Amino acid sequence: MKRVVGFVLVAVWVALACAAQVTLLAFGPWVDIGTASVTRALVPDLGICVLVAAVARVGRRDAVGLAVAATIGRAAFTGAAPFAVLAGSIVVAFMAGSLGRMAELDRPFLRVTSAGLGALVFSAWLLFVDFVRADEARASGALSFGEVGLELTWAPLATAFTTALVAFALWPMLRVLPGLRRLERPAF
Amino acid sequence: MPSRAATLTLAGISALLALRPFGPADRVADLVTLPSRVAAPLGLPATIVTRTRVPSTSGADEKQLALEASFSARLERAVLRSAWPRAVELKSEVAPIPGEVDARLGRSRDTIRVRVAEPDRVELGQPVVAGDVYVGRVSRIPFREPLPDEPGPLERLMRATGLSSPPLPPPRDAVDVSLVTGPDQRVGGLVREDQEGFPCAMVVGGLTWRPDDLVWLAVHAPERRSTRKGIVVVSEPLGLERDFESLGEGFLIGELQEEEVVRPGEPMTRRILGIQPPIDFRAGINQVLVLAESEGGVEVDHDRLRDALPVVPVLEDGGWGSARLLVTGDATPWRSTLRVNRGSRDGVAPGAALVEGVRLAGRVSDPSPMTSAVATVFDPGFHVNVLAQAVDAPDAAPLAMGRLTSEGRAPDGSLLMRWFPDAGTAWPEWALEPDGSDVSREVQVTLWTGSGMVRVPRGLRIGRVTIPAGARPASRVLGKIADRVGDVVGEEVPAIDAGILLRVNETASLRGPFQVRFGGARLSREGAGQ
Repeated sequence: MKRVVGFVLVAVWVALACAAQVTLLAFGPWVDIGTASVTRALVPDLGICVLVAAVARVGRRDAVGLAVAATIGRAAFTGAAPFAVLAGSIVVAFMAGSLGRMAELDRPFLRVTSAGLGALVFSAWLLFVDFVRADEARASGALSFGEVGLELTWAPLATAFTTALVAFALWPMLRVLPGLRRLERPAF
Repeated sequence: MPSRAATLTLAGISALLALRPFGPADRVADLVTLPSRVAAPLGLPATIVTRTRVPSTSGADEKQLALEASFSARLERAVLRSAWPRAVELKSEVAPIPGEVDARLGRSRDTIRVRVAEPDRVELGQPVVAGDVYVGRVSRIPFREPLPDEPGPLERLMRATGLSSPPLPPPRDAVDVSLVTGPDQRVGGLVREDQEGFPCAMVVGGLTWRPDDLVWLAVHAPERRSTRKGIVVVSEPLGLERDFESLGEGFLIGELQEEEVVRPGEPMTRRILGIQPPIDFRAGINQVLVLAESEGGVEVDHDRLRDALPVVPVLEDGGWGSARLLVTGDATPWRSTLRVNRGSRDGVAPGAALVEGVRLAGRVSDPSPMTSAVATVFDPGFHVNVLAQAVDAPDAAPLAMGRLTSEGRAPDGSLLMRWFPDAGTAWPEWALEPDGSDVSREVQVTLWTGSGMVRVPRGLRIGRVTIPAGARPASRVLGKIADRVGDVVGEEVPAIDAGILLRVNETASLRGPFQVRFGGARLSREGAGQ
């Protein structure tokens, strides 16, 4: 039960982070098919920051649980398909956990790398899903939403850069978010 | 705790389900993410910020919205009238049945579903026309011959567990129409006078290969091989098994043309012969007539029938329900979505329109049980079939602009939409320069949704835009020919390949209050027999 509450709290923190992210995006340029959306991509992916910080605290063993919690937390703030978000979250959590096995993610270089790499992979994956779905819908005449232009190829890099910076700056706070202690496993 | 292999396998399966959606799995995902509904109010700051930034030309007060609703009704009346032929005379014993185009069927681009006013009088094989143009034939009446429901073991299990459900029975008033573009469709045609002044009979149906996106109908077995140009009309003087195949006699099929092209990989040029139709079969058919004989061969007063068409205002058919905004914005920076408080448990289905007054705000992209993600009209890639109504002539026949695709918002907040004028139907007179040059004149129009989209009724306002001067429709000559069936055609002009980017103002403000389309796809009509 304690662990369930822990996962719920992770979902809450991811939801708060995504809400803040959506608010920051609201101040940015409007969405378009070109460079304005790349500029918008400079808003850091705060949900990924929370996920990576949680994995750093808890370990790779709970990557799937954390990814599911992150997916639930993000669901209210995105039109992306839940399975796309889940797949991306699992990969990000797994990558962060694997890096964490080599060395402590608290080290500045690793916290920046894990968050930046995670945001890059996650954003690129969502872009790819939108591209494939739009392409198939064009061929089959099915309903589709969200079409990506070629300029958006740079968007994941933009997000990765700013997410890495934010992770570097906010890590001490993210590391000690309430609820993560419940997910820690005793060493012995 | 899952092993490394299990974790990666789970990621792989999720990725596959993301790229290839599977209904029952999506339902499970919707149930798992149900708790996120609680977090939606956290998006209030984003909603407030967005509201303050929306341009003042968006949104409208109640009085303005009521006025727009009345213009929508006038558009509807104009569309209903436009389905009736002007140049071709209907035989007196023909009692046409009006039909509204519903949506394409699955992957088939050559079949459309039409909701007709009098389903009991419809028979297989009856010709279908839109204005003066022959469109196709009735190929199936689903209510009379529903597809068999034979679930396999997996489907039976999913139905038992509530993850799937049996197909809904087809509506009584729906008929399937096979368009003349279909590879198995054939209709007799006649060029009354070709480039040498001779008549030429032929068979028409299917598409001719072309190196571009233009649609040309294929010509089969022409009576004279030297016929290269001419206006082609339906000609089936020898009725086969059923007399009503001759009811389409004289309706326009298109303009016979010849062109030299080079096929990829071939060193020489080829001459291709085909018929350019004066209608956009992809997105330009909104209202049709099914040609049926009157009962007992009684003479029919077509003028009275045309003027007595009932119009149901687009928001008054009972298929709408209120929806409250939960979150404006998307964590994915290249998307423009919002979330509302109605979901699949309320009857919301993918593609359902979300409106603000009579203004289209977006379409539901992903309904979960209690909430729905909505792709707004500003979401890049959002596409919609569009009718344009002249601001200074709201009762004139609208211009079917075909499919317009959103490219997001301009910095000033207006909606950017890409339009390919060569994909549209023959243009009405108000859209063309009066000097007879067959190019568009600069004219301010109101954009409305057309027919053919699932769960998006015709007559929802998109915004106001100025069509630039100088655009040329590919079927421009037939814009004139439709008034004078039988004339010899003029010259071809090249189409605009990149399309035209339109800035649309007076769009939905996304502030609400909203209504979302529930359940049924089409508006109710008197005698629709739903």
